[in-house]
Amino acid sequence: MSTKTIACTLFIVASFVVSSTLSLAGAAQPAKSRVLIHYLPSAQPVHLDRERLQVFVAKPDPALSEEDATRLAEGLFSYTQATFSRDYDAAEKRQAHLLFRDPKDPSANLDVDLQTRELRFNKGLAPYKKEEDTAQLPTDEDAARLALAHLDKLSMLPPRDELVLAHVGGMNMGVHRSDGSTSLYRKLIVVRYDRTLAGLPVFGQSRVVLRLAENGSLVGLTRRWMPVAGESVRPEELLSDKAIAQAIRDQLLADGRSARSIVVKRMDLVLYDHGGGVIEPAIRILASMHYEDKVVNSRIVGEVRRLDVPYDTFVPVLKHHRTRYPFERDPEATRRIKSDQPSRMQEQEEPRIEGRS
Amino acid sequence: MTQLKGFLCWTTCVLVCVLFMAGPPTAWSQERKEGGYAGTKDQGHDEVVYNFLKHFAYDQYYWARTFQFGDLNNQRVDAMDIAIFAGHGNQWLIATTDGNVDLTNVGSSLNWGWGDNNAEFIAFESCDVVPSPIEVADWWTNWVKEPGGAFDGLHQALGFRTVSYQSTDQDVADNFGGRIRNNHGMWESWFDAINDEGESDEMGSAVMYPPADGDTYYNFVTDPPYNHQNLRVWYQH
Repeated sequence: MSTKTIACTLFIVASFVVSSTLSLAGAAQPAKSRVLIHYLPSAQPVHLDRERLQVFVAKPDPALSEEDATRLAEGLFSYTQATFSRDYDAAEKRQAHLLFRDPKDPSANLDVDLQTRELRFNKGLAPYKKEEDTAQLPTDEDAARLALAHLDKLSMLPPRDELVLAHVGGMNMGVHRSDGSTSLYRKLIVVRYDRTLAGLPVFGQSRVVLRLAENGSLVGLTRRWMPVAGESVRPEELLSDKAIAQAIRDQLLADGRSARSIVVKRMDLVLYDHGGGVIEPAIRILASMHYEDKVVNSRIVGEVRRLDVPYDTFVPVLKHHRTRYPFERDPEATRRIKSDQPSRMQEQEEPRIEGRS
Repeated sequence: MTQLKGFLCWTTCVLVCVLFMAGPPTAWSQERKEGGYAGTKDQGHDEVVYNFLKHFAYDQYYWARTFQFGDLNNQRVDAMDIAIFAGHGNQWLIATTDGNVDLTNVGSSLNWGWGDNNAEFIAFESCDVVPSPIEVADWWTNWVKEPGGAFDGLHQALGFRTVSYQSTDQDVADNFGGRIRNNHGMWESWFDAINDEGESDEMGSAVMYPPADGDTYYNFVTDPPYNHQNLRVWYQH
């Protein structure tokens, strides 16, 4: 047995010992049960390089004027041969957004955010709903190359050193007919670029997603790429490693207090981009939470199903973080929700219609 | 009497003019009902549901219970035009606050499946609930089998064929709600929202009655029969 194996084994054994009661401070409610947290060897505690961390702050670009946004939209329509018009009748008009749509295809729309310059475009999927493959779809390699070429031609290419090819996939359609026959059709290719800054991956909003169709033509584009400038973080602005470890543990126990156990798979230093005009360092936690609950309407009487639920969250490393984190919840969401009782409805229930299998 | 007739005539003319100037009713002026059901009380799933419902009204906004999807669905999920569930899931299974619901068997409940009463659309902001041909070669049977299948007049069921992350689900629901409120395509809005807000390994999947491919929240085709076997699936990969 190698030293590494022994070390790993000791680590796992030590991890199993980390069990915690749920007497958490803050918003978490006290719980009666105990939840085991297991840390896999791949989930090593993060020790911050406190001299080198940066936050990335949005460059103070002026907001797009309506005229500039319209020009940008018209350029995109011309490039993709889309026939859109301004959507003045949208039921939900968001401030500082310019909306366009194709009246003939409800899936076709463009939303330009004047403030952030983010853009969400879907040329429309109506032409792809026939039972046939889309002709001349590009290969994965060609798709990535074509995606960059599209962005370049549209003057929407982010800085190359920030771009990371995250995924080349697509969108397909399957059919099952009443005669029992089935078919699968390849419809679109999707290329996604994520972001990296100062060697750290950016999670959250930053992305460019392109949808490509016949001959690699552009039929969809999401571009969320706030231009930023790095600023050094002073060591005293950062939480201690111990405080970060405690915050991670608290977060896991708060979110997993009804789980049987939690297996932490990764804890990585990343950058988190979730509003506030800032992209800041944070710890990304990937875990699996285990639940065992009865299947109430199962065909097997008393069936209990074990669910291993993937879980992720982000924990700040700054004492005064500026972006919004998943654990920051809107109290209105909980204030408005109601408990439900079947007993109140039973009396109103209509009798079951007979004669149906 | 003549004065009264004149007054009535004048009033009628004014009313007709006002109605004419107001124009025809827009699609979203039609009344629709939205229901939201949160599968856990400790992981922010209420906020996921809330972020969807805030684009509309709060016709039903409950902690999820099994009866809402099963035996009493005619007054819960199937009383709505669209229902959204946020919580843990697995293939054809959702976890509510009082147990799991087997979606392959909800059609055997006292209230049958969904769509025989009112529901057109349902969305699952949960991992794995809507498997695609990538996960399961037979991706259709569990939705339409008799007895048991959930599709009893339902137009579309939206979800994920993969993980649905906790860090992104509240944003996906918010984005999706805004899109369908603006009468964009139903499943197309779901996929757009995932592209806009999800991580690179989150993949949507949507199962539907083929003629309902093209439905929006305010414009949709006639309800499918409860016993059809025609299904279409769109999936991201």
